[in-house]
Amino acid sequence: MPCRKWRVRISKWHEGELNEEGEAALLRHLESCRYCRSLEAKLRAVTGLLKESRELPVPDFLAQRITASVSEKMRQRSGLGIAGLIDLLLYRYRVTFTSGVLVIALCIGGLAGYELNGYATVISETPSYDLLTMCGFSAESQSTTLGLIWQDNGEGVRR
Amino acid sequence: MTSHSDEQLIGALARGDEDALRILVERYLPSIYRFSLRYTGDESLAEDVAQEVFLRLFLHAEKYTAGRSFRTWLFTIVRNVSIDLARPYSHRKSVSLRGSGDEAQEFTPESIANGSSSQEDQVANREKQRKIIDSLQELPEKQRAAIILKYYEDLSTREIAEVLQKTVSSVEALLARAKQNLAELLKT
Repeated sequence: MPCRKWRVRISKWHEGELNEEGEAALLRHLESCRYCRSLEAKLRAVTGLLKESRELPVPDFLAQRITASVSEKMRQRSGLGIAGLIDLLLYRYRVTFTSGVLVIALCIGGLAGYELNGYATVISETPSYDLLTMCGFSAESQSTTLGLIWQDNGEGVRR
Repeated sequence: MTSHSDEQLIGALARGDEDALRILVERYLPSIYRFSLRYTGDESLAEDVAQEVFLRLFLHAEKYTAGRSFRTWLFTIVRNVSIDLARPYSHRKSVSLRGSGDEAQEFTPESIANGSSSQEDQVANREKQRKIIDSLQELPEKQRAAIILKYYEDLSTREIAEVLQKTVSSVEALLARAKQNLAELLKT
């Protein structure tokens, strides 16, 4: 488009938003530019069309339907007492609530992982006899159990 | 209560005042419905948008900050709801205006009796409306919203800039481009 900057000025002129100086400059340009004269006529026609086609009927039932629907929601909220309040808060702050739940879940997961890692370290570093004692096995049953383990792995290493 | 300001009404709505709701519906339903009808091009969708807007007004009434233009806040919500609800139908190109196939049924006895215009004029006017709404659907979203807010809802360029989250100068350029596009669309 050869005269892009004038397009906005033409549009503003039709709305009465151009100052005197701008208007004079535009009129001078329009005298010399055939393209912008044609554009001015088009924009003027569209502006007129838009301004004269404002009326649109609103369906009669719509106000009643909306009032009934929202009022019902209001009554639900107020009638439910504390549950309604919680429901309202959950709806309003659903993003915050969901984010909070996710963060808490991640924290719990992280802590659990850390704890399990700690137990695994303890188990791997504790002699088998001590572990069995911790689990409540007697000295006799420990010997039997460890004997089975030694038999199984055949290495004679206490694990 | 009808003389109450929008700020007072929205405060009352947040407290669950049904009278405030009724007044807000009376005051703003025509604007909301007409915006969404021109924006979506679908009457039943526009009705759903209007209902959802009032529900969101109730649920988010506390978020309205005093001092901010109520109309700007309202039309931001209306535009967002229109985008949300129209998205599943965005593939549709044709406009389904109720009654467009049988214009005569749209006239009430009152509209015919008031003598402001003849039946032929009203048919022609309705046809013109339908053509404009059809053409609006072909415009890019922001151009469409800007045109509707400017020419049908009488928002200033600064208010439109606030609704569309753009600068005033970019809204001016948007409007000029939209009108040029509309001129081309209405010519064909």
